Amino acid sequence: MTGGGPDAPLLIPAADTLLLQLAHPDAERCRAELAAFAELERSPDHVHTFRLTDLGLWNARSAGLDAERVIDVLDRYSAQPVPHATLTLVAETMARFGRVLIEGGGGGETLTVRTDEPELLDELLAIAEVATHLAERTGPDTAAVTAERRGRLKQALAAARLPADDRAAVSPGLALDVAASDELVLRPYQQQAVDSWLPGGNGVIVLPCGAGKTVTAIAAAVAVGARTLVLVTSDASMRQWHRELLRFTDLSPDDIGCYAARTKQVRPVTLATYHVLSARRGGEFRHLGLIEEGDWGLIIYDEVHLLPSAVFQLTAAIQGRRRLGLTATLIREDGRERDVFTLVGPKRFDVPWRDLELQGWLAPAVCTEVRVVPTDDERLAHARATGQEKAKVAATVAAKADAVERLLARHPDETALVIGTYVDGLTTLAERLGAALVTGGTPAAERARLFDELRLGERRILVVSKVANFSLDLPEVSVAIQVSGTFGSRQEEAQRLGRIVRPKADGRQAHFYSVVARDTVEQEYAQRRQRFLAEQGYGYEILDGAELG
Amino acid sequence: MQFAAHLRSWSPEALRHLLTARPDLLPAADLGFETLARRASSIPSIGRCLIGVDLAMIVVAEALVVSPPATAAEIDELLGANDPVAVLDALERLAAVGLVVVEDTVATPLPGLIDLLDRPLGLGPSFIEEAELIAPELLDELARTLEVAGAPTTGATARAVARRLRTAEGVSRLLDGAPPATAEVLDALTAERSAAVDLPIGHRYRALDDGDPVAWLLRRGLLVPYDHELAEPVRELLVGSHADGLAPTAMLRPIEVLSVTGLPLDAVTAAAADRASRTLEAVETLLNLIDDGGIAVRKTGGIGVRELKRLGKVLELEPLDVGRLLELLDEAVLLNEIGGALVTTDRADVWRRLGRDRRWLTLVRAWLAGERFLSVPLSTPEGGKQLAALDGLQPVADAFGSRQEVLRRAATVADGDALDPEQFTEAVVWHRPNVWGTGDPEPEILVGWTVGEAELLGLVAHAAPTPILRALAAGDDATVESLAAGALGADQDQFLLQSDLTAMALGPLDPAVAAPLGELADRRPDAATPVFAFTEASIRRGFDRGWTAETIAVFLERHALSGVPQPLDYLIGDVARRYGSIRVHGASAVIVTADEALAVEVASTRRAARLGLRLVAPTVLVGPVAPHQLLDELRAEGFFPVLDGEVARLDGSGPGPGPHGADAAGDRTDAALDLPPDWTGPVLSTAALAGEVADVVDALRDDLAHDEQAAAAAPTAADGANGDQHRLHLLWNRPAVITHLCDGELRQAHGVLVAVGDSLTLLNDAGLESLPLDAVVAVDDPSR
Repeated sequence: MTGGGPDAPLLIPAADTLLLQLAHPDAERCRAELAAFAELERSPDHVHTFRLTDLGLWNARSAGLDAERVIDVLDRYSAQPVPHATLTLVAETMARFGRVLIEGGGGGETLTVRTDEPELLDELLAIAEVATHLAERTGPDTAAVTAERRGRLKQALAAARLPADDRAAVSPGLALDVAASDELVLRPYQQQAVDSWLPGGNGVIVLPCGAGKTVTAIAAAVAVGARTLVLVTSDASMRQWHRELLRFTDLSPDDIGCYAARTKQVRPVTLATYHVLSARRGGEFRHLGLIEEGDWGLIIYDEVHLLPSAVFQLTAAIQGRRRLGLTATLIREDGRERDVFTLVGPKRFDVPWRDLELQGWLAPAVCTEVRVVPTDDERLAHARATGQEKAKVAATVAAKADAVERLLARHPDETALVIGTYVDGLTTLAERLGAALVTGGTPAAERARLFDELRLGERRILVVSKVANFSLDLPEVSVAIQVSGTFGSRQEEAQRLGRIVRPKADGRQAHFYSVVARDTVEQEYAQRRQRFLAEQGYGYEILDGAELG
Repeated sequence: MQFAAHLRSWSPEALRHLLTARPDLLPAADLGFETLARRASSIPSIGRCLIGVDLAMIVVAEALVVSPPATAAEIDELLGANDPVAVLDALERLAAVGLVVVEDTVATPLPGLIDLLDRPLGLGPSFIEEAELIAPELLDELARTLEVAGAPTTGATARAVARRLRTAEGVSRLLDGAPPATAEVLDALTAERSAAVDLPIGHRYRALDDGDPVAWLLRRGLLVPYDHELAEPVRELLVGSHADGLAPTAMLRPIEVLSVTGLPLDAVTAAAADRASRTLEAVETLLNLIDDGGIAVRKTGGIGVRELKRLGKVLELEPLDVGRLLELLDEAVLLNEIGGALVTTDRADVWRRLGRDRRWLTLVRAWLAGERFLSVPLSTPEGGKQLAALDGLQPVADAFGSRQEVLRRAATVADGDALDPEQFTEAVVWHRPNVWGTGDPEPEILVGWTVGEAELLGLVAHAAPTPILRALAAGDDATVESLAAGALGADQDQFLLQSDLTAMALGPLDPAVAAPLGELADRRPDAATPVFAFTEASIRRGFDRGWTAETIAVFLERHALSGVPQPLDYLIGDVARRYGSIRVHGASAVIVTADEALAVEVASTRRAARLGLRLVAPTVLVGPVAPHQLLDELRAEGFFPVLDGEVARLDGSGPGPGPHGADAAGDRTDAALDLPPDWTGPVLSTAALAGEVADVVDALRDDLAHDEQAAAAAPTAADGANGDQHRLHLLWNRPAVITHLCDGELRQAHGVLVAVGDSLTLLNDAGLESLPLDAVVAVDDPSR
């Protein structure tokens, strides 16, 4: 490998690390090609760090890319010869994908596991975690697996770094006569996402918050034309899906069922929450029947990075169905990205946040951290508090309300969300701001009304708790002020930012503020969140509360 | 002709060639021809010379030792090579390096050569040696049987018998007087080179029955005990039995390195430079790991196989390469093993301060000058276990010589051309077969090791030698240094500051910048490219070392390619604001802070309880802890304390930035000056040797002229016998003449006194003239 010459944009300082110099004229082209097989790990202002991971390379392999193509890309853009260790890593990792095939499944209960050579099957049978899911050896390089063990087997194979290429037929499910409404006009990247997912019938579409994941998934469901189960994170999200399905398809309200705590409707398109599906009685899943007996042609996992462990277990048992995962980030705080890859499917489409911002599909965002000074009493209280109490004391310091008021005053004509974690503090804040408050305890109808008013511009400010983190479509909100958070969770930060980056009708910029109590535990959390935002490419500033004027 | 006299007849060119090929003769040559001849004939010098000769010379020398003296044609016939030109060429080259003397086309090996080549061409001992041990009547019997004319001495008889035995006719005649089955025994023994027969019982006591063919041959010195069970024939019998020659397939023609088409030269140099860079970075990481105690040493010493594999994963290197680098660091004296732990040396500190090219060249030169194979770790000697690194075991082979040979041969291929590994090995081994030791490991493996080591250092890439390798082989140090500077590039003294509070250099960072930056930010251990993360704690650490917000700003502005991001600016200011908000006093520590809440916060930590800290006033805590320990504990808890008395730093009046400081990069001096002058100097400088040889040969020729004049004027033995003492006054800087004169006197059994400096005056005072001396040589030593 000769490399692209010393003036090329890519540096490869370690076998699995790629550094892209953004100032280079070829950086954009290089980034686009790298995205197909490397994970963007950090994307601050000057140099982006990509990582070559098992999942990234397997995803690429499953998308039809081979090691030669990957190495060719690296060779063309690398400023130095591609290191031998990188060549080995790429070739060896990509060669592992597909050495095991899962085939068959045309209505039968038993599927065939085929290895590329008999010795590999010998090896697999020697791995207890794999062998336990294989029914029997049926030939030198074949073994049988029952349909119900298919998912578990795939997990075990992935853990052994031999991910299966699952080509077994999927059950078509009961057909559904559904068509897109006139309003369903896909943006080019959304169409590309659907086209990438459709042939495999499983996998994950990664789109930033505000990029239209719901619309994309609805288009996929229309293309499949079968009974569809949509698994969502909350009741609020369920309602939003309900609304979007009616808007973008010709389905009638009677075609759409909601399967939640209080209602248990099973209809051609059914919306259910993860929470309900995870419920158990006597160790058994109470609502397993919904999954198993619905003859679904498609199961959609909204916010797939939040898929609870119980749903992983259920998903392992339904590998014969089409599966579509939706997420803004494949980062899971619990590190189970490999299970998403194995059970829901490989990443089929991914487009960086910043690209959509540059193309005008997302509003540009400015992130600012405002540090306020607690009073002496508050500092004493914070000092005396232990554990999570410290966070609560910090979250509710009085100066935050003052800072929020001043921030809102900076944007007198814009719609704003004030987001926090502790309901007590939020209640006080809402009263002081004269704004409505939405928490988990707010009745659903009241919540829907308040969000609608905000959406329609009839309400300028809404104070919300964690319920607003996910699946809340408020396109005209351009200011978000978070006054407290969950210990610097990167995922929460991404979701909250996502609330405000929907493109604005007038093209205005979005503002994302974090108000942090100085010299408290919040400052440490804030630093983690800042780093995450900077790594995602968002510039941010830190201001003292006193500077707000 | 005496060898010394023979050497005197050599032309200056021939002498230059001799001394260049055998540089160990230089000091002897300085002392004159007699000393030169003695040294050149000595076994150590001949042995050393044999290490450097090629396969054709060895084969021809061995053939000559089997049948001395001999012409080229006779040697060719003995070998069955059917290549008299190649034999003659090898013979001439042997003569040119003083291993044989050729007079009138007849070559004679030097006695030392015969002693060293004790099993020439794989044959057993010579009959001439064995003849000394047999009964004289049996030797006479053999002489009669072989129709050897009566020789004046036993030795002459033995030599004559030996000559006859080397012929088929002689062997045939021998059998005439032998027991009936002797021919079959001899046929079996001579059919193969290493054949042997069982020794008969009682052979040690010569209680042998002449009716038994083996006993008959043993008694006559024609068979020789090989060990306590077997006997082998004397070499003459094998010669006589192999009419087709003893080594018909010997490679007498040189095997030159054949190159194959490789990648374009720029691809080779780029790959080599990249490898050199990565090796340099791996070495730096290894040294850091050693400093951090991050390398486990076995109880028995050395770095075990498992540890090498672990380090391989850390460094992204093959475990063998990790072992090679550890051996190299030891060779370069950058590490040491003391008390079961690895430590870096003072020299390592100096090395770290060198520029990139100098750091790399130091490693390359340590390798070139080194006396061991770096590739021993993980190898498995015959019948042994896989070897660890740094456990001191080495094959019995000349690592230094083999490395030079590999470089010399590799340098013969054209730019960008690649080596065919198998053919290259063949060529390298042909040119110096004796460098490769005892055969365990095989020479092929040792060549592979050496090439692998050169690849690790970036001297070979894609199987093609680099221009730097060629310059090293040519001893062209100026080119080596300029190419190294170009290939390795300079360290960067600037970095990018990013909004995620990291500093990243797009290449190796100048140690003079990396060190101060490392005080202010944490270097990410997993990042191969220097990435430093700024955190509250890292900046506080910088403040502890004397940095201030202002000096940090100056440093960052000087070295940051991009401006200082606002969040970093804020972070530095924020730490400056909080720094020193807690003061630690006295031996039994007192914590004083102006901030009541802060005091409570300290008091409420678990650590405070463990340390016994208690609030004695709203802003004062006391505890039975030493101040420095308390500082560490408070810092670990995330506070920003200072020891009272160091407060001056806060207003900028205290000590400047720590060992590095903001200006360190600008004040860099050439750390190489701290190194011993020979450490990074040239290793393969042939130019220096050529100059020295020329000087010595000139002096030798001058001496010869003086010698002749002095000899003409020198007193004779008869003069001495007349009772006159001959006094010569000489200068010490003419050692060849002095030696010659002394030698001449001693040969005539005269008493000679050599008096140096003013000792002669003292001896005169003591009555020198009364001593029984034939000559007095007074030597003035101008240096004393």
